[in-house]
Amino acid sequence: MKKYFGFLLSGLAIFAQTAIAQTPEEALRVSWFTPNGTARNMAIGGVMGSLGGDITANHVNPAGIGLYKTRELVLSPGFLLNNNKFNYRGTDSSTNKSGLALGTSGLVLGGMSKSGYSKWTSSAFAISVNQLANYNNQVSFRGQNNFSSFTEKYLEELTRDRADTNAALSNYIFGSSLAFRTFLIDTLRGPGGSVAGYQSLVPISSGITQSYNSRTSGGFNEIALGLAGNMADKLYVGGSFTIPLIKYTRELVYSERDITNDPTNQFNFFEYRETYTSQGAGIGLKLGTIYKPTEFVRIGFAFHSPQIISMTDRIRSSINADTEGYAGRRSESSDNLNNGRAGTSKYSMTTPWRAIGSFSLVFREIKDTRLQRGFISADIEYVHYKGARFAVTGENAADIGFRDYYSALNEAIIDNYRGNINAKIGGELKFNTIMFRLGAAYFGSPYQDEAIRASRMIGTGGLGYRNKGIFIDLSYSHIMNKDAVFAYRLNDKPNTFAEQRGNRGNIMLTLGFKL
Amino acid sequence: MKKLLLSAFATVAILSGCSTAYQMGQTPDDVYFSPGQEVESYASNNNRNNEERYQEYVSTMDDRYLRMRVANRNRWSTIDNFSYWNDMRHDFTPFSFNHFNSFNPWIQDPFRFNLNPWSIGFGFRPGINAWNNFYGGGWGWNDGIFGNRMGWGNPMFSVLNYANPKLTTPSFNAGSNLNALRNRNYNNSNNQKSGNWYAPGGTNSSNNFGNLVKRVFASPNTPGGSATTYDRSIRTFGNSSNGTPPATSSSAGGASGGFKSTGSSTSTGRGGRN
Repeated sequence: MKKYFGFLLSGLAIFAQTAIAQTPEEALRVSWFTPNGTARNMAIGGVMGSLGGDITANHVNPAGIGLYKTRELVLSPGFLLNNNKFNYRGTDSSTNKSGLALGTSGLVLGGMSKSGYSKWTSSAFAISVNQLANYNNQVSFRGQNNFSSFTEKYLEELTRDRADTNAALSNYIFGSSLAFRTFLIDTLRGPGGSVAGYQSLVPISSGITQSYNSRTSGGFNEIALGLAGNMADKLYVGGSFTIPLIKYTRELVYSERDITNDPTNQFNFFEYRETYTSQGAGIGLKLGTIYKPTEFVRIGFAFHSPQIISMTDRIRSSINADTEGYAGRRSESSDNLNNGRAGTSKYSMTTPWRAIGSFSLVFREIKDTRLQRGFISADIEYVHYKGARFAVTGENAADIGFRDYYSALNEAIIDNYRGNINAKIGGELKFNTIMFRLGAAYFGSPYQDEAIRASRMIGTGGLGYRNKGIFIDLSYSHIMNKDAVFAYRLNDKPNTFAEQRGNRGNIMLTLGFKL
Repeated sequence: MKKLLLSAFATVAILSGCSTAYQMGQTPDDVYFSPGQEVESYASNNNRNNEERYQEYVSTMDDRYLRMRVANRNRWSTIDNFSYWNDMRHDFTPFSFNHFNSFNPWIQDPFRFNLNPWSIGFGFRPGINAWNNFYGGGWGWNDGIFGNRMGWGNPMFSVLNYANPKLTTPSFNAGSNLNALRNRNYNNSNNQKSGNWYAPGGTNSSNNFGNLVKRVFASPNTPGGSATTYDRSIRTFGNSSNGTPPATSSSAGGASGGFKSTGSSTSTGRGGRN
C-alpha cells in the first residue's frame, strides 16, 4: 500500500469505452415539464386537449389542427428567468439563471374538401417545432453536514463490488478511482495487513461544509408532423408523428471542506468536477380526437405514445483533494486515465406515455369575429412517470452485466416514481381584435415517496391582438417549483437532500401570419 | 439559438412586408371559427360550373365518338381500348389535377375534385411530394390519407407495438449505487453534542452507525498537548459465513466509474503517500 503498489498495473492498458451514468432523474427530465407552446396557449395555462385552432395542438391533441380551414405561419421566441431557493440542512441559498426559450413555431395548412364523395369536411396538415422542456438552470446549495459525506458512496461502491486495490485504482475512472488515486478514500487495514474495506479521509463528525453547484443548459425539443381531418364540423381526428430531440449539458462542481480548519485532521477539502452531456433523437406518436356534441361545447381526448429515444451520454470528471498530512494535495481526472477521451454510453430511453382528457366551452363559434366572446377550457392529464425505461444498445446489448444494470435502473424507476395527474384550466375574453387571457395549472409529484414534496403550480396571463392577417400574442407564466435535489445517495445511512423552492418566469411572444 | 432568432426575425420582416389574404376585412380566429379560404370558395363555385360543363362535354364527346365509330368502325375502334386508358401507369398523380381542366374525356381521372389545398398558389408541392416516401401512403388529399387508411403496416408505425421491457430481478455482482435510490430514510439536520459537531447516532457515545465510522486519534500539535479525535466513514467487506474475509475482486466495476469502465492507459499507480 505504502509505495507504488499500483505499479503492478503498468502492463494494464485497457481503455474505458463505456460509462453508465444514467439515473432515474433523467426520466423526469423528459416527462415532468410544465406547459409549453405558443404565447396564447401558455397564457391559458397550457390547455389544448379540446380547444384546437392553435398550432400547439400539434403537440398536445393533433385533432385540434383539424379545426383549421385556413393557413398560418407561427413563430414563438421566448425568454425565461429562474429564481431558485434552496434549503440544505438548515442553510438557505438562492440562484438565478436566465435563458432563451422557444415556443411552438411552424406552419399549419388547412383546406376545405370540395368532394361530395368525402366524409371529411376539411383537413389540415401542420409541421411545427416546440420546446417541451428548457434545461437552462442553475442548482446551487451549500450547508454544513456532520452526518454523511459524498465520499461514502465511493466506499459503498467499492465494498459492494468487493473491489481490491487494483480495481479501485482502475475500474471506476469517473468516480471511485479518482477518489482512491487522490487518497480521498483509502484502504482500511484488516487483520494481518489485509484489506478489510475502505475508509474516507473526510472527518464527518467534526463537520464539513458541502457545496453543490450545477449549471445546466439545453432543451427537450420536439418536431411534429401532424394531420387531422374534420367530419361535418362535429368530429375531429388527428395524429402527429413526433421527433424528440434532446440536448442536455451539466457542469457540476461539488466540494466538501473541513470546517474546523484543523491542520492535523488529515483533511482540508476536496472538489469533484463533472461535465456531463446527454443527447439523442427518437420517434413518437400522438393521437387525438375532438367532438362537438352541441354548439359551444368541445370534448377532447389525446394519447401520447411513449417516445423511443436513442441517447448518447458523455462524461468527464476529476477530483482535486487535499488530505493535509496524509497524502497532501492530489488531483486526478478521467481524461488522464482515458487518453483524454470522455466516457461514452449509448442506450435507449423510452419516455412515459400520457393521456389527456379535456372539456371546453367556446362563445361563440361564429364567423364574425366581432361576435366571438371568449372561451374557457380545462385539461386533465395523466403521466405514467414510472413507465420510463432504459435499455442498453449497441455493442454491449448482449452483455449480461449491462442488461442487469439497466434492469436495476428500471426497477429503481418503478420503485421511486408513480403516475400522477396534471390539471390545467384557462380562458380568454375576446373583444374583436384584442384578447385577454388567464390560466392556471397544477402538476403533481412524480415521486412515490411522500417525504419528498414536489409539485409545480403555474399561474399564467397574456394579451393577444389579431387583425389584418397578423396576430401577436404575449404571455407570462409564473411557475412555482417544489422539488428535492440529492447531491449523493447512500445505501446504508439516511440520505440527505436539498429542498428546492422558487420560481421560473417564462415570457413568450408569438407572431403569426394568416397566409 | 442566436441563428434561430436571426432567421426568425428575417422571416418576420419578409412576411410583414407581404400582403396576406386578410389585409382587408376580418382576420379569422380558428379557435372559434375557421371560415376556409375565400379563394377556395370562389374556386368551389367555379368547380360546380366546371363539373356541369365537363359532364356535358363528355356526353357530347361520347356521342360524337359513337357517331364516328358507326361511320367507320375499323378506324375508330382502335382507340377504344379500355385497359389502355385505365392503366395505372399513366399519370394519375394528385399533382396533375390541372389536366382535369383540359377537358380530355379519355382520362379517367380518379381525382376529379379540385380539393388539394396545397395547389392553391402556395408553391408547397415539391416539399409535400418529398414526404411521400416517408409516409409510404402519399399525401394526395382524401385519397391517400383518409380514403385508403395509409400507413398502417408501414414500419414507421411500429412504435405502436411498444410494450414495457421485461423486468428481471437484478443479479449482478458488479455494483452500482442504484440500490441507494430505495433508501427512503432521511436526515436533513445536524446533531449536536456538547456544543460540538457530532455525527453518527444520538447524544450518547454509542451510535447507530458503529460499523460505518472509525475513530481516529490525531497526534497532538505540540508535545504533551492533547490529541484530537475525529471520525471517518468506513465500509468493510461483508464477512462470509465461515468467518474468513472474502476474497476481493479485480474485475469489479461500478456506476460511479461507469459499469465496466476499466481504464488506466496513461497512468499506472497512484504513487505513495508522502
